[in-house]
Amino acid sequence: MDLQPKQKAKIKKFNGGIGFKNNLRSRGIREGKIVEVIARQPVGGPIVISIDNRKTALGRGMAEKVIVEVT
Amino acid sequence: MNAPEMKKILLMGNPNVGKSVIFSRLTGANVIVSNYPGTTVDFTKGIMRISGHKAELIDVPGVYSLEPTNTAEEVAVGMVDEGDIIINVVDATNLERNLYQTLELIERDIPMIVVLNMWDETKHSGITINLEKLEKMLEVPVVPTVALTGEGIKALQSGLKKICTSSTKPEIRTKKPIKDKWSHIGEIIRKVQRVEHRHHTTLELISDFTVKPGTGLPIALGVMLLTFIFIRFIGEGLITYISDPIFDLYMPHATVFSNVLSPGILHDILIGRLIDGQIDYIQSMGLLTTGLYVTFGMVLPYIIAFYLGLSFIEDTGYLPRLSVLVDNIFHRFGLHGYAIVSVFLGMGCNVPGALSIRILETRKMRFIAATLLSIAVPCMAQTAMIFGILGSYGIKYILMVITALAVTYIIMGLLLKRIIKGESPELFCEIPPYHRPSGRAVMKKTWMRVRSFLIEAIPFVFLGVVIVNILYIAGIIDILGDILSPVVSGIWGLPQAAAGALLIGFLRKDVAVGMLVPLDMSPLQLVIAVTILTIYFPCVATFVVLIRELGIKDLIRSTLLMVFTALIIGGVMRIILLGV
Repeated sequence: MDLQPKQKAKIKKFNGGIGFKNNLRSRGIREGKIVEVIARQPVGGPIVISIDNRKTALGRGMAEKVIVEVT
Repeated sequence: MNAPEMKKILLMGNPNVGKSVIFSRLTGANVIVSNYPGTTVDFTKGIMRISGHKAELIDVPGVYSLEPTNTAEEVAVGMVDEGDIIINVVDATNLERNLYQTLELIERDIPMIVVLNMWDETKHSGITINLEKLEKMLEVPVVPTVALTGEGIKALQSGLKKICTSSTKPEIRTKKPIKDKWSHIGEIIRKVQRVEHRHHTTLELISDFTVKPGTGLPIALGVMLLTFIFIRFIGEGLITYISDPIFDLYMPHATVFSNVLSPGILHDILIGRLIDGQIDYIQSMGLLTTGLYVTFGMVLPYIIAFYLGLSFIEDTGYLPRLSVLVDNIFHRFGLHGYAIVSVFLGMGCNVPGALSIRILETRKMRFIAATLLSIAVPCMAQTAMIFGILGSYGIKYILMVITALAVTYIIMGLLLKRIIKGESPELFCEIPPYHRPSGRAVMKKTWMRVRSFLIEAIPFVFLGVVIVNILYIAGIIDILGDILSPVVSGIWGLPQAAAGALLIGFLRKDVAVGMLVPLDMSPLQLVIAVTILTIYFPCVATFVVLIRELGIKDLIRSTLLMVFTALIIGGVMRIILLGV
């Protein structure tokens, strides 16, 4: 997920183990969802995303494992 | 079941959906609730009545699924099979995500009732949910509630009654576990929920501003500064206009009592020593003088002020946003942004601060967070005493203490990240929508915390005062001073009698700070002494909690670190401040 704030995209898949995938899914971050980036903290800090109007913060490393398709 | 055992009812669900509010409603018991995930880290038990029968209700910490990712969640998941009935609390505005756990719980074949909480919010968010269809598809009863106002609680109670009276045996479901839960949820959502698009509300706009780095950081600094000013203003206000006048009125009575008591042990313990023939509230060290004055005259006003501020901020939902902004900094300490919660709670009292480290995912993070908390975060009782005693010399001395502790926190954080083995995962947290805190809820929460301060602190303050007197009378403080003199005087440049304060600091740090006053130290020496008093060791209450949270081995390691840090920081401060 390499999106700038206000950009929207569709989640395609996750590059990670089953535990990682389920952890994301149980928090509403799932394949097929439209994700919008709200904010990016500087120097590799976490990003805040919005899915279904719910906000979640996640680390940059995790975000990089989320593969998206810009719509 | 053989004996008429009490039924166990579990409140389960995602974090921050309002389980604890429902718990309060059903049991009448008061529990701390806030607007951030992870407020409840341990399960709380209470008794509720269902058609005359007592049942045990257990408020389980929130989890996103039945696969735990931290200790708080392990506790929760381990509870599931002990329940006779499950109340699955679901955030109605976030049905899709919450349903995953609902399906997981349904598979456990325990009688269950689903509560759609925050039902009122669905209207604001343009969400409509068809309750009948949802009930049919889940095959469990569904009750909409607004726990904060109490709406729907009656319906929940009668729903529970039905489950209890219908059959003693849980009905056996013949359904096989659903393999692809998410696609099943997708189907449910398509059939029961409609969402209208709504424009952003003001609160949502503020929400965005407070997490963007450009606007968020200045706002965070502003919020911190305002909170500090608020606490100082309210604290000093309460002291000047309420507690000091009361203690002025009390003084003649205490003096009369002092004259009636003939000098002796009883006088020493109740009234304490007279300074120039007068009672001195800080220096006398009697139960009815210093004991009362420290608790009610110096500490309580600041406790009230601090918890008013903290409770307000907690209920808005600002803390998760702050954790995003400070995440980068905490990463350098081997932690992530959510550790800020333990710092905030710890500034009130280290005990809840130490409990809150359970929301951190790994042993490494919990160790670092607990050690940094014990080393460099003074509780409000101690802070109030520092304000009271150093404040009279000038604000710059207070700033010196704060700077010394902040620098210690940073240096120790940087070191611990490198020394301690293990993983430090990244921040991954939900950012709840902002809520306008209700004045009543904030007052209630402040009162609950102030009350627990009074109940838990007063016995220790009094015990501390009594022990101080016994130690003086028995001459133990002098002996201890001689033994520790190479450290206390040799390294830190303090009078050797300050050793007594270190001993009492284990019981109560506020009393210990008070013990420094009669030692005739310069303001700079006081700065060093109160800083060391923060660093060297946690108080006994925190210590007991840390045994449980870290285990004895890690606690010993952590404690050794504290002692070494106190030696070094105290020595360095002596060189910088005293120049010798």
